[in-house]
Amino acid sequence: MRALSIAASGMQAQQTNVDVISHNIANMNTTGYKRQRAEFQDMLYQNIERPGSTSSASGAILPMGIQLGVGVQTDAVGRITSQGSITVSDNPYDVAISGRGYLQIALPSGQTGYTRAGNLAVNGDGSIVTSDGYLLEPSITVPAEATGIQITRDGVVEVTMQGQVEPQQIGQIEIATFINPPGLEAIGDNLFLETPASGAPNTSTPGSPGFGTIMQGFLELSNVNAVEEISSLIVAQRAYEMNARVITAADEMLQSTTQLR
Amino acid sequence: MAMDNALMLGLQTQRVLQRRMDIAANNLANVATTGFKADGIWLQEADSTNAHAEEAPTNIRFVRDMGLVRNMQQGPIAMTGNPLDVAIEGEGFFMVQGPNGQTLYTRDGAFSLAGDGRLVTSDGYPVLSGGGAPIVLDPQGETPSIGRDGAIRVAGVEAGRIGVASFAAPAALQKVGDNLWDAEGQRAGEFEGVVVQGALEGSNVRPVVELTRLIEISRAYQSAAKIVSNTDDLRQRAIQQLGR
Repeated sequence: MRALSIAASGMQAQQTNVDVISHNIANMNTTGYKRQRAEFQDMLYQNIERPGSTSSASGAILPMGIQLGVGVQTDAVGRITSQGSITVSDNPYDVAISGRGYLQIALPSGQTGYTRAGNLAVNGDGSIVTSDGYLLEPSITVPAEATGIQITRDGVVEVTMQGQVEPQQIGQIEIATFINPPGLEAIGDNLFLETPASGAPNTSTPGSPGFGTIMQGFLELSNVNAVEEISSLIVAQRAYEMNARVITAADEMLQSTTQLR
Repeated sequence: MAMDNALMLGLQTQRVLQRRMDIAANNLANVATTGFKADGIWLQEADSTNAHAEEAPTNIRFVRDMGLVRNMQQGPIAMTGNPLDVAIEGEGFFMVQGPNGQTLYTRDGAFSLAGDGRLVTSDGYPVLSGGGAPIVLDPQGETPSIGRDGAIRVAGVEAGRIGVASFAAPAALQKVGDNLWDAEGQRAGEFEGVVVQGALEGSNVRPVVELTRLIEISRAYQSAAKIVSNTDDLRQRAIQQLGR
């Protein structure tokens, strides 16, 4: 009986669904996290009777035929890249991107990582780094004598030096956008890598057409909505139970057959 | 020996019930599948030659599964907040270019942009415009807005229109898996529905109906099994009695 394996595919799909939902809930307070969504597709169909074939007994033409589906499959775990809410942090090194774009990070491997998590800091050399200590790209170094730092909406980084009135520009933050941001590969630590699915990065200064702007002293929260996730969790749990019920029913049917002598 | 007819009836009923069970299982497995349409089975009495005609009643009718009944009702539309998700309210299917270049149809509007700016399904198949050409958007442009007629506008300029095909008998389309349907030669007509941006159509499987059906099938199967076993008992007794 196919029902057993069909229901098993349904349970498997709902397990994936619960995994994705729990990952979202676990990252509810992760800066710049984008929630994920499991997408499902029906599997292949087996044509038992082709439409238009004649039914043997009466010679009548079957209008529709019989197609048996063989279950469900997880087709993608997509990322919803909508803007997360923005919160005040009062840390001058925190930046949030309002709109499209990612900060570029120089990874130890030599690759460029992309992130929406703008909780930046200054390391011992005065370079602006992420909370993991990776350098912002292009790199910006804050002089030791600086008393204050200002980052404008279009990413210009200025410092005020001791004893000087005029602020001095020390760098420019550039952000990268992608044709298909959900196609980026997440590598953990709030970082993403370019893939063929995401397309090549297009870099420019914040505030250019199609690019977001920088907000100093703010952080972007995750775009996970707790209520939505919990209700999805309940739906997934019920769907899992229903598939389990199919297995029980199919088992009872098989049992009644095997008990025949 | 009229018992053979009873045996055949019982077995045929079990066979049909197994199929019904498989279909109910597939419906329930796809309770969370985007744009899924539930299947049912169309049962009919069928004239049949008796399993053993000698001295048997001549009006025996078997049950036969003649085909599928597809429930084409609208699935629930849920907002997703993803600008490239689209749902169809009303009849119709999105047109998609299949792996062999043929046009396939889907109610699953979880679209995204490929690296070259083409609008594609989650499997990477290009979404087609009404004219049958792939839709290409400016990759660096603003987030597109999609109108209720399927027209895609980027910064106010129309960049393409998502093709939606309607069919006179949508239930007769064949499912080919991966949320895709084959028109099987049926001609597509004018679209009369509405496209909703930022939303997806859920599965139209009604869990309560399917679960009730599940119980019903399971019980019917058991009584059919009983017919088979009773018939067998009867025959065994007859043989024993007569052979005495």
